[in-house]
Amino acid sequence: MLQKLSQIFFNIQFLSLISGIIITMSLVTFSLNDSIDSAKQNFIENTHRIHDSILQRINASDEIINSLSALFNTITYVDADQFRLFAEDSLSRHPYVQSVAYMPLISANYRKEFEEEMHENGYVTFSIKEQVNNRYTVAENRSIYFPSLFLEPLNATTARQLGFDVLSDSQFEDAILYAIDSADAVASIANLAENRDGNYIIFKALYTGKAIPNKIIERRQMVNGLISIHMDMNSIVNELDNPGKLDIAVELIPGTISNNSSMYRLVNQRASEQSNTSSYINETFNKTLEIHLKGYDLTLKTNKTFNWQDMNHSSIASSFIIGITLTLLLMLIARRTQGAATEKLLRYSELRLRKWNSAITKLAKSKLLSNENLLPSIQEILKTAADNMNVSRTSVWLYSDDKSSMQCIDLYEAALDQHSEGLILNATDYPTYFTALEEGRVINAADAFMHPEINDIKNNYLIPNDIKSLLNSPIRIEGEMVGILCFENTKIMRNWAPDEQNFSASMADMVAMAIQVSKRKKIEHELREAHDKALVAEQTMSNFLANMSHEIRTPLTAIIGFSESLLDRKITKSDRLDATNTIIRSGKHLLRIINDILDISKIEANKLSIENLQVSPFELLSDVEALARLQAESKGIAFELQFEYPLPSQIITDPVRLKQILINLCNNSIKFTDNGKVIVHTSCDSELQQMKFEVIDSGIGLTLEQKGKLFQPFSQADNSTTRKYGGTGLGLYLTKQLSEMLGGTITVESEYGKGSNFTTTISTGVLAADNFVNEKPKPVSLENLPAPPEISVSGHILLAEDNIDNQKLVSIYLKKMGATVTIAENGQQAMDLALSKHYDLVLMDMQMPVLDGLKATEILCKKGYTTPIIALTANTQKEDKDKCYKAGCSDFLNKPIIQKQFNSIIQKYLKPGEELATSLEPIKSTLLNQQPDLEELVARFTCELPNSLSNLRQAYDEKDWESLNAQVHSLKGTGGNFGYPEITELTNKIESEAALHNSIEIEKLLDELDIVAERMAMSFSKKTA
Amino acid sequence: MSRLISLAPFSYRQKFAAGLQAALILIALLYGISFSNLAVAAKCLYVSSYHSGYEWNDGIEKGIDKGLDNQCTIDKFYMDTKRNPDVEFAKKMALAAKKHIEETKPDVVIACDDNASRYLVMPYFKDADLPIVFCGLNWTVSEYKYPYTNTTGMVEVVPIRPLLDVVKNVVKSIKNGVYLSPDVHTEHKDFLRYKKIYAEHNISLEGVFVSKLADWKKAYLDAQKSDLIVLGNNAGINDWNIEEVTRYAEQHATTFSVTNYDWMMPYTMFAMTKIPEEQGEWAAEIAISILNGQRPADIPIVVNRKWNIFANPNLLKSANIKLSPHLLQNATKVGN
Repeated sequence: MLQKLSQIFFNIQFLSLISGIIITMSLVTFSLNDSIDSAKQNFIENTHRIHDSILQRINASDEIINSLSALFNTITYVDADQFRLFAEDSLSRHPYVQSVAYMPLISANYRKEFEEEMHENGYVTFSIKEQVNNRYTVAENRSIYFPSLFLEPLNATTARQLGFDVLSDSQFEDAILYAIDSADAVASIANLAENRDGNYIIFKALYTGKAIPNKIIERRQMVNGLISIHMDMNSIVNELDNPGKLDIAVELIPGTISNNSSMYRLVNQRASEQSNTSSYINETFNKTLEIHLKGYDLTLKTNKTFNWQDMNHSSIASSFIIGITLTLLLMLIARRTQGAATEKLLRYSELRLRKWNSAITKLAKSKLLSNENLLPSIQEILKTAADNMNVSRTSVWLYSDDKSSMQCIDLYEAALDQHSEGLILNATDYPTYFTALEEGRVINAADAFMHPEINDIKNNYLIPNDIKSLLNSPIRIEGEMVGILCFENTKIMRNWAPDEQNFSASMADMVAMAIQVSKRKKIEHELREAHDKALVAEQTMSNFLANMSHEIRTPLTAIIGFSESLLDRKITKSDRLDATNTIIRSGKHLLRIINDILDISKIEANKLSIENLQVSPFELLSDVEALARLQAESKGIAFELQFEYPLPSQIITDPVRLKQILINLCNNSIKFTDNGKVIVHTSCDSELQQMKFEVIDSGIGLTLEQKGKLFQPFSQADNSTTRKYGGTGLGLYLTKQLSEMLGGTITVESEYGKGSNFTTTISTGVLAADNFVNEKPKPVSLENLPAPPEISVSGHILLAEDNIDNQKLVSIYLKKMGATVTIAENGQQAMDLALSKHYDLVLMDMQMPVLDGLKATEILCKKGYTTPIIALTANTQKEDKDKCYKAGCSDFLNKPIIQKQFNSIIQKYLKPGEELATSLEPIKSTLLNQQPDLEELVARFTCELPNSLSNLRQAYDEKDWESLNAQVHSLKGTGGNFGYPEITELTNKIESEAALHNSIEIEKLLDELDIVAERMAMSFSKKTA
Repeated sequence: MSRLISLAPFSYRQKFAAGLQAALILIALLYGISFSNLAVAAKCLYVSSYHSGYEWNDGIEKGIDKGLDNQCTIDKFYMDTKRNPDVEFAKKMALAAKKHIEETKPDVVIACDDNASRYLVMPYFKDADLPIVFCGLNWTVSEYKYPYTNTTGMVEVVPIRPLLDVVKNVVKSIKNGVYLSPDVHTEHKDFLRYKKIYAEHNISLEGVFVSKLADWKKAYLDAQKSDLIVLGNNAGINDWNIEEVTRYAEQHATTFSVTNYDWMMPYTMFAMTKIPEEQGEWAAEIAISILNGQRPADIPIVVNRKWNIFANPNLLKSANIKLSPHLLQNATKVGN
């Protein structure tokens, strides 16, 4: 109703506007016509002015020609200078006169004399000429000539006309003859027409005597010359524009109006412009007048295209302003009438808008909307929307992720004040409706049954729910449509006003906001949880680092401390042995920790590879037992292996990793068991093809909480456990990872205070029936073999190793075996030495500066080097070994070096040598044989010798040859004095080699000196013992 | 332009036409610029028979500068044959001028006065490719066998006939006259021209040729008995004394005397003389026409036709002779 009212009033205003425009246009049109009439009148007047002006200019030629005629009549002899002065004056006053000329009549018999006279007067090239094809040539013989004698202005162009006989030109002939006969000025219009240069020439005859003869015959007899003036018609016509700014196109056409020639038209510039001009005011005026020109007729045509610039602007502007004022007045009246009704309409609209705004504000402030749970928010919005819009039903529908369906999240029915949910509409069932929704527009269906876009929900949705009108507003989040807010009116139809549609859109935005808030709250919740977990992880890592620090420092402290104590010569042999054992134990412990860390790193980097080899589980368990039993017994607890037969004699697995798992589990159980025993129970599930190892202890057990933390990296049961039992917390985590890599798993059962049962399973590979045994085969293990006797080899070994400590260690091992050692500090040096000298064996570290061992080996082999090369590396992975073999290594030694393994491999490649026992015999001072009372003195020398040798080695290390020489020299003398010729011999050699800076030999000799010093000390220690 | 702006919004065709117009204007401008550059780039050489500072030469130069109007760069070469009348010197200078031409390669040469034509143009540039415009040649060019295919110019004539018109106006019943001049070849030639023209008007002209001032004074005094005295040049009378002759003329002049030399005005009542600027201006205009494409052979040789007129009011007054007011008004007055 209100809308219709508004429409009517709008129409009244519109009609007022249209009426005003019509009035304005009428007024302006009237002014325009008036302007055009006025301009036409002006045009006609101006055309007459142009006509008069042209006539006046043409007639001005009379003045010039009459004056010239008078000049020649009064002065007997007019010379060139007089003519020039006269002409210059005329030309300056009449710019449209191009030139003036004088042509005397020369008869045929006087021609020659005339020409000669001209030559004599300086015109040496002068002759009477005629024009042929636009070039001047000597005139043919004729009875009379009118050669141009005086020409003004004289210039390079006009000078060419000197001597030109104007009578010889047919276009002038008629005019000249008529001029002679008429004694009047005659225009040669032929020039105008044919030459088309816009010029014409006026001729006037000069006669002998003062008076003009009366009769034509007399005139023909008495004519003695011509004068001519050259008129520039173009400038006559064009200069008309300037004085009056008439803006009129002028055409001058030879002939009369009824018979004008179309050969030539003289037009002014405006005419040519107008011919190219089109105007939106197409009013053109034309006028034609005749001009009589010295015996010829010309037609003057003028025309003017009337355009905007020619109009009376002020009159038009006034009409326009009056029209606009009237229009505004009409509109004002219409507006006033409309005012009261509109005000009522506005008030109603305003009240409704206020109510809605208030509802929206209330919703925005509602705590429900900041809830993580979406449904209460939606319900609140739907209820508010229904109440404010006064509709029967409101509902929110959200799309599925692929937009193939839409589910009703909540439906509010106002009459029942009830919420329901769950209805799903599938796109395949209602394609038209879904297509309409996808376009993202508001669906405004006052008559729901008739609306084409919702036609396909009519039968299944609209009719059953008695929905008459429907309004759908899209719900958008970040521009993407996620669902719709639906307003439905049952029983009666209703129109949805624009402001109602706006309110609906606002409500849809509120729904979008509620969804976003809900999502955000959920994310916040998840973030909080993640944050808490991160904090725990951080704490765990912190504890782990503290443990690691402790675990690594503890063995290091022992290694460093006991190593230093070994330097003290005063400690007893048993203390020395203890210290050495402690160092070895601590070193091994440290190695285990490092191995664990490296293994975990490899697992996490997905770099740990698993070998599948045939393994005897019994032998493997024997190896584990050998280690674990010692450890258990040292704690006073029992260790037992139990086998549940039948068991396979061979399985396919990675023996190294399986052993690692079992040792870890055993160590773990032994560590946490103070009384009782640790049992390893082994069984096999042939169907599942799995071996099962249970490590059962009677230890401290685990609480439930502690159980939960097991197998996590960097964690032990708790910090108190760590403090009491030590450990990195990596073992069980690593064990679990390895178990899984071997195709099994690990579990724990435990009772706090009573003990734990760790069970690990591994895949066995395919198990043949005949593979099973019912008793334990006899164990065979390398490490269980009795310690080999001291071995002796002979040969020269090249040791390529960059680490000085390792150089020393390996050198000691090798020298102990009787081999000679040459050290290379990098791959390049090793390669150079190997190719320059014979060696029996090469020990090649794989990681070295300059050139690594792998590359050096590869190059040597390529060069046909046949001496066996043994790789020495801490990289113990299978692929590392493969690389070494591929490069050409004959064998492989792990770092850290296990001496048994080392000895066995060296022995494999070198010839057996003499027994070493003799070389390690004590050396006794020869001096004491003669003077036994000096023993204390000799003992002190022997005691201080290691220090001296240490200084010597420092000087060598620093390549301080001078200091080395001095010390060697001193030692040579002292050694000899105290009865040690071995010292004298070796120092002598060192002195010689030092002169040559032969480091390799010096190194070797210093090593020998160390051994000699050791043997010297042995003689005293034996004595002490 | 305003028309273009006002109509442009209504028609694309007009826009196009306007654009075309602008383009044509631009092309015309560019053409104009390039053309003017071409003209500026052209080189003209002025070869003077005389020297800078010589009044006649300077007048010609003034005319040339005016006529060229900066359309051509002008280079100048002076043969200096007025101060060095020796023939060998003239030939030497002509050779130097020739060398200069060959080195500088001018587009057109303006050769002024007879010696330039005699010693330079005729021997070295007759019918050559180089266009030459001469000026200041006395009376006839037959001596140099002009015209050549590469020459044109202006001949310098003495205004005998215009002067005769004045004479006839002043001395109404003139029957005879005396032509008084130094006894030199040129003057004899000039006298014959005078004599012939005056004879056409039934005036008998007697020639008196002297070599000394005393003889000149005597002849001048004798000539007072005739109807007219025509005074030739004074070059050739070595003991000429300006003051003495001036005083003498003032004391004895009773007969109407005329001359064609302005420097003779202290002793003459009326003179009609050639204008050097006219020669220079014409030569320059022709040179530009040639540079613009005209062939020298197509441009006729013309003669000078502008004169300066001088009057000596003192002498006229003492002789009680009256010139027409128009003539007197236009004449340059000489004397006190």
